[in-house]
Amino acid sequence: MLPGRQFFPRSGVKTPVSATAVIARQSTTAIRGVAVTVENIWRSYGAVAAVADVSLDVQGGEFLSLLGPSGSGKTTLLMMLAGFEAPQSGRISIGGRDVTHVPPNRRDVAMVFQRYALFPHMSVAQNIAFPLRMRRLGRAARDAKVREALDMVKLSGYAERRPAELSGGQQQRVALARAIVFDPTVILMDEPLGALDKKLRQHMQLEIKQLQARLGATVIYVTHDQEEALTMSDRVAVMNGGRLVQLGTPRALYDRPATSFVADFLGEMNFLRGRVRDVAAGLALVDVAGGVAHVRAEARRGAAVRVAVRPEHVTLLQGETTRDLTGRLAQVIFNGAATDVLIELPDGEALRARVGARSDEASLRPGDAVGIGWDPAAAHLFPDGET
Amino acid sequence: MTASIAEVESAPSGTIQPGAALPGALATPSRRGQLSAGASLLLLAPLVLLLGWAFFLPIIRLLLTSVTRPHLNVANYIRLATQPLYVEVFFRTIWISFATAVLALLLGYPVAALMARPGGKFPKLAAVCVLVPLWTSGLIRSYAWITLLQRNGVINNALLSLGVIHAPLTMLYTDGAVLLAMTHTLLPFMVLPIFSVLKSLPQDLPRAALNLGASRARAFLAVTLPLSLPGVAAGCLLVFVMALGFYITPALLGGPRTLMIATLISQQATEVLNWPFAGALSCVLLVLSLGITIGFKRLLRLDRVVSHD
Repeated sequence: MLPGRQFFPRSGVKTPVSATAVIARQSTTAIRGVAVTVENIWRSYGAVAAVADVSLDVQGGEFLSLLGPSGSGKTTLLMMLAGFEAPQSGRISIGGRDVTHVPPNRRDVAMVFQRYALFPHMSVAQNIAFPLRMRRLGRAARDAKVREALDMVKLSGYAERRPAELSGGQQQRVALARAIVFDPTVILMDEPLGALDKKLRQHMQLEIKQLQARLGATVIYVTHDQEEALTMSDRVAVMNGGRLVQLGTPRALYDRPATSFVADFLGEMNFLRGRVRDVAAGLALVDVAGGVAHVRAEARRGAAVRVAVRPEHVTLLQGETTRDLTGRLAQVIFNGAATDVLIELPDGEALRARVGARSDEASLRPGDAVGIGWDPAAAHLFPDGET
Repeated sequence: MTASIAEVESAPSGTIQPGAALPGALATPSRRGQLSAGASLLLLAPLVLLLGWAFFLPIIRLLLTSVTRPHLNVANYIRLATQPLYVEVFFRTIWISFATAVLALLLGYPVAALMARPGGKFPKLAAVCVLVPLWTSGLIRSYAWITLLQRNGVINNALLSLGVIHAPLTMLYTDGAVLLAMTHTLLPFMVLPIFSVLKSLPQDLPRAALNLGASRARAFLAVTLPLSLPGVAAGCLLVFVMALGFYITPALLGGPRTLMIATLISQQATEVLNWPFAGALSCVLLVLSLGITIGFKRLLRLDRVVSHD
């Protein structure tokens, strides 16, 4: 697996001297984040395995998202990393130290909670100073660090406020400041933006990203929002039913989903049920929906499969009815940046295609007959019956 | 019916707020699921009448007797303030009530904390242990203590047969016995308010404290304890004020030396038949309870110090 996208070059990467100097002035550029290793972790509640045999290698300074629907085990895994839950078997190490049975207060990992978990009886400054007080930092040093952290989250004027006097977005910033103020090497985040509205979410995503780049900390970020996971992460670990389904860069997951679950969960995907008719030179011809679909994949002749293709990979040719797969345009859905069209296939199934707003395809009208095609390499084949 | 009440309500106000709805609109049930003010008052009326006639009136009459019989005077209050016996009774009552509250807090907080813990068998068991005594009559519980503490009671017999002591201990009819039994009786009133506050405390808060480097003890002291103070204050106030007026337990378990106010009032009213003096005692007890309640709230202002949703 390739190392993740880096926002600041690691040491060893050649950069012009001036650029390095600028970065050095901005912050301590070095990646301070340490590696987190999870080995064969199990955790079950009664008969239900919340986390089943998950292994995961998170590199130092990496931004890794745990992505999955609710009940997929991602939060339980995070709780075990924080030390609030103990795994029944398996091993967790942080920065090379086995912490499987180390209590949460001795792990030196920060956590940002979904509902912020700010202490309501303390001021913003007292909240942020809390981890420093626990570490017996002197008053002067403490005040300086609190000021610095408040600056970093752009809340300088709010030190004496109570959390209840702040908006949701501001509370989230305080929670972030409290988590970074003691220079943790690993930061865990449990759907930290879940309670914010969309605009603020996108804004905070960017800020968290920048903050992480500045701190060089390892971030493990739990979310059920695939868009958030794709935009923020160096790598994404997709979980379902307590298991790790696929781990990879956002692009790899999007372009090469390992299972139909991942294909379905990330981005939009058309699925067409069918049976493999023929395989030749790595190209599978699949009988689907009253036509034939082409997929570049290995398959067994006669196998029941599902063909998956993303709306943006579908190309439409007006009036073209000699293609292997044809349909009739049923509906045009305008959604701002793009226009989606729904095509009714001969057997009644629907296929979604994304067309550029200014392309010829956008001039299609409901009822038009269209030929349907795609790059066989952009389509995927999954065994039918698998979820 | 409701329309007329609403009109009467809105009429004297005279100045209708700019932008407010027309007076007639007040009667329409705009706030869904809420009764109009008129209907609420109507529903409250029976209780108000009952309380007024059967509670406030007799109390006021009793209090008035203390200064009007046989003629307008304050002799009863002077007697109360100057006779060492009565002053002593008041101080003892306050002292025992205070000690009861402290004991109940020390014993009750851990129980409340246990009950508030999520999941498991123990929270439910603890809840049952707290609630069942609440459903048992105080009289029965006092007699239970008598069988335990009396000269040839369970404890003395056990200690004697074990050879720990050679003569039975005097436990019954002492301040200690009263304190013990009162704490036992009032414990649920300490546990329940603390429990309800602890239960509503988000789990994430102590977790956040642990995560930020606090040991379990420090997380408790810095986060859980301060946030549970409203419950502690409510429990202490409830127990203290209830203890001030406690009657059965001190009367049964206390000796002549452990006279408390309620017992004294009862003696004056039913044995000595000195109603005016009983009225004076009641008045002081009432003022004491109210004063302490108000003073306590003013002093701590806990609802302001700790405000979380």
